[in-house]
Amino acid sequence: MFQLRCAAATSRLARALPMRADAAAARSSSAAAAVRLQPCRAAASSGGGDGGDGVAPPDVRELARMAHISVTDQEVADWGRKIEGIVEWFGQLQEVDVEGVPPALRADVEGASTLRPDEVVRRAAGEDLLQQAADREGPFVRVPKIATAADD
Amino acid sequence: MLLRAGSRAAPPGAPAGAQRLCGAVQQQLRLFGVCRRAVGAAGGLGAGSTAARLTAAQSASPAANLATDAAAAKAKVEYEAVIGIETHVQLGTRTKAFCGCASEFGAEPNTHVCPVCLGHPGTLPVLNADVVRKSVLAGLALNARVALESKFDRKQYFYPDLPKGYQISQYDVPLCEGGWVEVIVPDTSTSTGGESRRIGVTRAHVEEDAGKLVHGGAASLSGSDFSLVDYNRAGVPLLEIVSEPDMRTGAEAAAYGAEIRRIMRFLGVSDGNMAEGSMRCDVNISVRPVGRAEFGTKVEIKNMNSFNAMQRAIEFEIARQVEAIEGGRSGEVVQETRLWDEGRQCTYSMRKKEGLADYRYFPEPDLPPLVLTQQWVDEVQASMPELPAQVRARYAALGLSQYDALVLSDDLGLSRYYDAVVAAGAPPKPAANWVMGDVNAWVKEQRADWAALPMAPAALAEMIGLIEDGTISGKIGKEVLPALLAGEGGAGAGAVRALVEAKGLVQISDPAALAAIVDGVLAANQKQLQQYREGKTKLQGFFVGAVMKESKGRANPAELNRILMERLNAPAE
Repeated sequence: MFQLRCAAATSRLARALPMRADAAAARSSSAAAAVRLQPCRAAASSGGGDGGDGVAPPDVRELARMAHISVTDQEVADWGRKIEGIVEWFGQLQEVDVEGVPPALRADVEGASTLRPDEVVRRAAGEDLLQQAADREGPFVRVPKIATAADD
Repeated sequence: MLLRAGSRAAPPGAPAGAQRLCGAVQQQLRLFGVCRRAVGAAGGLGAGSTAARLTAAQSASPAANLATDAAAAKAKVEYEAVIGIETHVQLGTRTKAFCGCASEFGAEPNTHVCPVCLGHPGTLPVLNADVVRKSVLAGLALNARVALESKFDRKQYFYPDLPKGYQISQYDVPLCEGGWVEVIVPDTSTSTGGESRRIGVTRAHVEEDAGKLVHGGAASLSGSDFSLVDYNRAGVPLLEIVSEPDMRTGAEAAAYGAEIRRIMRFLGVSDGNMAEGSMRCDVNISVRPVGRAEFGTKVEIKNMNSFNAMQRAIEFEIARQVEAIEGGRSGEVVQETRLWDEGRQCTYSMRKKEGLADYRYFPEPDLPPLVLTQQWVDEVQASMPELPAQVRARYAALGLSQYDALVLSDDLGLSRYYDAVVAAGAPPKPAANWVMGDVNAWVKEQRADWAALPMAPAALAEMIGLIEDGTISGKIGKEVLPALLAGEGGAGAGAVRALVEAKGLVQISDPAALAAIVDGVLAANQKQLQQYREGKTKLQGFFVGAVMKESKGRANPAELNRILMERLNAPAE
């Protein structure tokens, strides 16, 4: 149970990581392709403690706030180290010289976009989907009210 | 702190704190002599002028000027507003942006949902081809460059109306960039049209809408901690059009919004219905002393459900910001989002704005880049229908005034109907008067659809022809119109003439027949005739009326006038 919550929380935290937009992501994913054949561990050991120029050191409390999850002091200390390790590891990819290498964000689609015709697909009923909701009221999904003032 | 994708309807009633702030602003404005009406009047200043240059004194009503004289004399700084607009246009596709769910408005809550738009794990979005076509068409109509390769990004925020925890949008490589629109800012003082202004369009990008939070009902009454969500709108395609900060007045902003809506409607890209939320405008506004290059602190205002409301919200906000700065309270103008309260006619603070980085954009890994060919873009360009500005130019070439051209091109249905009337042979100016006047009034009153009007354009054209050739008078035309609007005129040539003849409405132009009526009227009104001849010439109208009444409105007015004057001014027998 805790494992589950922890995994889900970590993935939400990962999404909340303040990457420097997509430029950094673009560079790191094309870098990932470029360094696939290199010994990553070796690259990692030469990386040093620098967090890389595109990634800020993680602030678990801030991330948890943005992800709307509560964390204990123990979790902050524990996850902080782990996330920092992951971030550092990815940060090293940025040392690869990708000058002149076009960003490879996703699988190559060979210049053609996959588009869908604008035709309605009728589903039998949304009931199976709505049953997934924790709370419902009539046809609506009931959710805790988000107080924006408290977020300020 | 949460930010949400588009602007959407605010919860009914402002939060208590916001109400307080709103009240405080109103009070300040009252201290300055700016009452609610005066704020509206202040904006009128800007209407029609190139730039609204407001001083504290000008922003108040004439009566309020007395109260502000002292302040104005102390510091006669002129201010100008800098306004930019983000417009979310809901694309009128049959299905959502990335799944096959229907995107229609008004369905039973949570019936147009599927694992993709509800963000279930393992599902993949696939872009709707019609979203691309409509967006490119709109981009080209906005004179923007269409990127042959663009990409999608995830905009992250957590809010219950966003099932995935992110919105698929376009961040650094939008589909369209660098366009402009030509707008006409109506000159309300003369109603002869207005001044043309070119407003820059920074970019236009594709994104998906969020679901709809319903705060009303039992939940809000009991002060409960719950909201209700309808995900039918989640994933509905939007085109976000971002303007340059090129506008200076509420009137310019309203004209820009109206032109964007007109363009989208003429393109068939969106119905632009603001009340249903298929077009939403967020306004960024700051004020600065005239001549200063740097912008002032930018405030975002939302929740305007008409262009009229948008203009008033901007005028209120300009006045509020100028008053704060003039009063030495410039600290009150902070970077924030404010909501327009239509009932109270003021803006109130919703939240402090957070920085761009908080959205943590990154490329959407589930969607390939959007790659277009120049040939396909050229094909879309070739399919471009006539745009409002082109329609206005065409009407100007027909000899219509700018005002007429504006009114006729305001609505696609109206414009098409007018074109059909002219095509059926009606002269442009009389046709414009009839279509813009009585016919438009009837359509509005009946909430009728121009495309399905019972009165065929050819029938109206025939009636106008009968007026032009003197068969009936304009007055008779107005009398006959309701029958035509009900469809009695048919569509065949001669049907209207037959109707007019059957009703005995054909104009009396025969001089002998008219003279007989005139003589009869004069004979029956000897006393008035005497008075007229003694110099009370304004009795002429009395005689015209009497003859018209006698002829049941069928007398040819010009001919009647000629004969009447002949008789009246003849030497007494």
